[in-house]
Amino acid sequence: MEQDFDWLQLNTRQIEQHLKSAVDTLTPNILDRIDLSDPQELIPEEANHAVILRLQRRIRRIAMTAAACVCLTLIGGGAFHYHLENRKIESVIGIDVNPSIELSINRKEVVLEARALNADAENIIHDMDLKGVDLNVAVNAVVGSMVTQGYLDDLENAILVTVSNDSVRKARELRSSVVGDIERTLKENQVEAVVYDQQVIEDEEMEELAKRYGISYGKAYFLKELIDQNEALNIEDMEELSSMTMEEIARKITESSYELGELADRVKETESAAETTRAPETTASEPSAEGSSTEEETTEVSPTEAETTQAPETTKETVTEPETEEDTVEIDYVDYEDGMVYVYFADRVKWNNPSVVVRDEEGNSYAAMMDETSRNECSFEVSGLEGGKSYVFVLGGLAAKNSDVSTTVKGYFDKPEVADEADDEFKKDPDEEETDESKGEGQDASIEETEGTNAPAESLTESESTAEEKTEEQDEADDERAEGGPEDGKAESEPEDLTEQ
Amino acid sequence: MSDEELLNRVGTGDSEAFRQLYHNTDRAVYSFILSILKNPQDAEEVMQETYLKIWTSAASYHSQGKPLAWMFTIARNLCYMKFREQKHQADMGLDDLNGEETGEVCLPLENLADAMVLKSALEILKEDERQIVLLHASAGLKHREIAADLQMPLATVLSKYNRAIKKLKQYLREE
Repeated sequence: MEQDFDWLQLNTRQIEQHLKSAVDTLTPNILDRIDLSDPQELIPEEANHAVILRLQRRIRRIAMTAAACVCLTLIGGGAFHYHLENRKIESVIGIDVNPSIELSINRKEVVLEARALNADAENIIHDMDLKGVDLNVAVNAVVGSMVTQGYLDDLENAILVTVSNDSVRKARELRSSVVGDIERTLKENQVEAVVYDQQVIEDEEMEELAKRYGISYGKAYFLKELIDQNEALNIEDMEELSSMTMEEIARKITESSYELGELADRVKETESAAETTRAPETTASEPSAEGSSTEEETTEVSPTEAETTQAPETTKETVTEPETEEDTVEIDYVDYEDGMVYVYFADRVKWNNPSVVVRDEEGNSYAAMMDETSRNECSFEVSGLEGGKSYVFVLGGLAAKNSDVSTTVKGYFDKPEVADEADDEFKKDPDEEETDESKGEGQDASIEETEGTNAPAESLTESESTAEEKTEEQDEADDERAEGGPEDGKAESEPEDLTEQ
Repeated sequence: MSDEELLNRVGTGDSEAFRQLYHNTDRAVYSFILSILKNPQDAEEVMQETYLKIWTSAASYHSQGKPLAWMFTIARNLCYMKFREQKHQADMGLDDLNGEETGEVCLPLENLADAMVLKSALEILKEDERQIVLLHASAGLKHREIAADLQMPLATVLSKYNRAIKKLKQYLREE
């Protein structure tokens, strides 16, 4: 690449501006090229969508079959392999309402097996032949039947969707497509439901648990997660919870404002109230016990323990925009990532000599340096932190958008606990794609690299793959926290803040 | 009128609604397509196909409050079809390698800094990072909207965004 660009020491805003300007220039105007006389497809409800999908699939299948034939003539074994691949279970999709059903699919998302895990489920699928059917069609049929048989009615429904696949990425894709299918089917049937979705990996402990309580793997995973996330619950509650329908569980979650950890993302979409009533973090001087619920709420996570060696870039921007009321600064949420802390404000702020101090619960200070400030957010770099602990930071030299008086604002974050060995692995690994970058970045890359690997999500002592699983989980947990847990301990920042920002 | 309402109207054959919807969404749709294909020519082609498809199948859109997510799904499918097409051509011996395979992105931009930053973004970031970065920086979508449209948790979007920008800064500094 051109060498004379070493002047490109850009800050975030400049990068964004260049990207904007570049895409603005590139975006073509193709409106006039769209032939609006093209007939529109007149679609009776969602059938058409499915038909289109199926048609495409069929075409693809024909193509694949043709390819298989070629293989057959060329190398005898090719077709056999092709055949085997299609018979291999690649993912398992669990659907729990009270009927619990598991659909095992191959890599082409064709159902290889549909299992009823309880008597209700037997009612649903006993007269259906789902084998060889495309997943979306099967999901539609199953959910449709749950509606007609009254397992999903007009009030308070809850569905748990569990996707199990070795690849995190694939699981994520499947998860959103299945949830999309379910939501569409529900809509068609004019039924509303809370849809919890989760992606899981195989874990003997969970299988054990599922077997012991006679529930599906997905439900066991969900309940275990729920129990782990909430101090008020313990494993003894499993007995009671496992006998409940998803609807009853959902009600309990709402009533008791339980944490949902990984699963929160879905829930907030349909049931925002349940997620937002949690108390904010107390103060930093009050040591929060490991795993306590307050800690959960403010956990700022990222899997690596990074001493970022990257040179800090301090950009000071003073934004002057006198507007409306209030002169306190409110932090919306905080994100810890790889030696950097990102702070997002609920409203606009102005900066004048930004400063930051980071302390732990015992009052020890840590070296922190402001990286960037803007009117909605700022980031600072901090080093020497231990994993698994909570930290408090105080930002200074900023003012609310309508105030000229500089103030300070306090916030909290946690550095996630990651096994040191795992971290060392990241540092040492010479094969990572970005080894020439700073350590901090290198680690980032290695985490990304592990995406798609399969490891028990619970175990913290395993190295890379665990870290990735953790990223996934924690990312989700972050979201959940970002929704409901203000960091500054003084305000109840509603989730609406985010939308209206 | 919201995009949702517009899209519903498009479903009834309202061409004015379609024009309005196009103007509201063209940056986002183009950014999204470009982030997948990494090639402006292909992106333009697919953008055209996408809007045509939006026009012809708007009636199948079920109001879910996420019109952009629906449009992105169409765009994504068409992008993947494009990849298959290219792969097919390559298999047939044409060796028509696209940016994805050569790693080189060619941008017809006069402003060198713009070109440099976008090129870097397209070359060094991963697909989901490219989507998030372009949708936020270029198309002006809020992180929350991106999270909803790409069906990702907000925090994932945020941390991917931060990570991607950090990568970009680092890369541009070193280049």
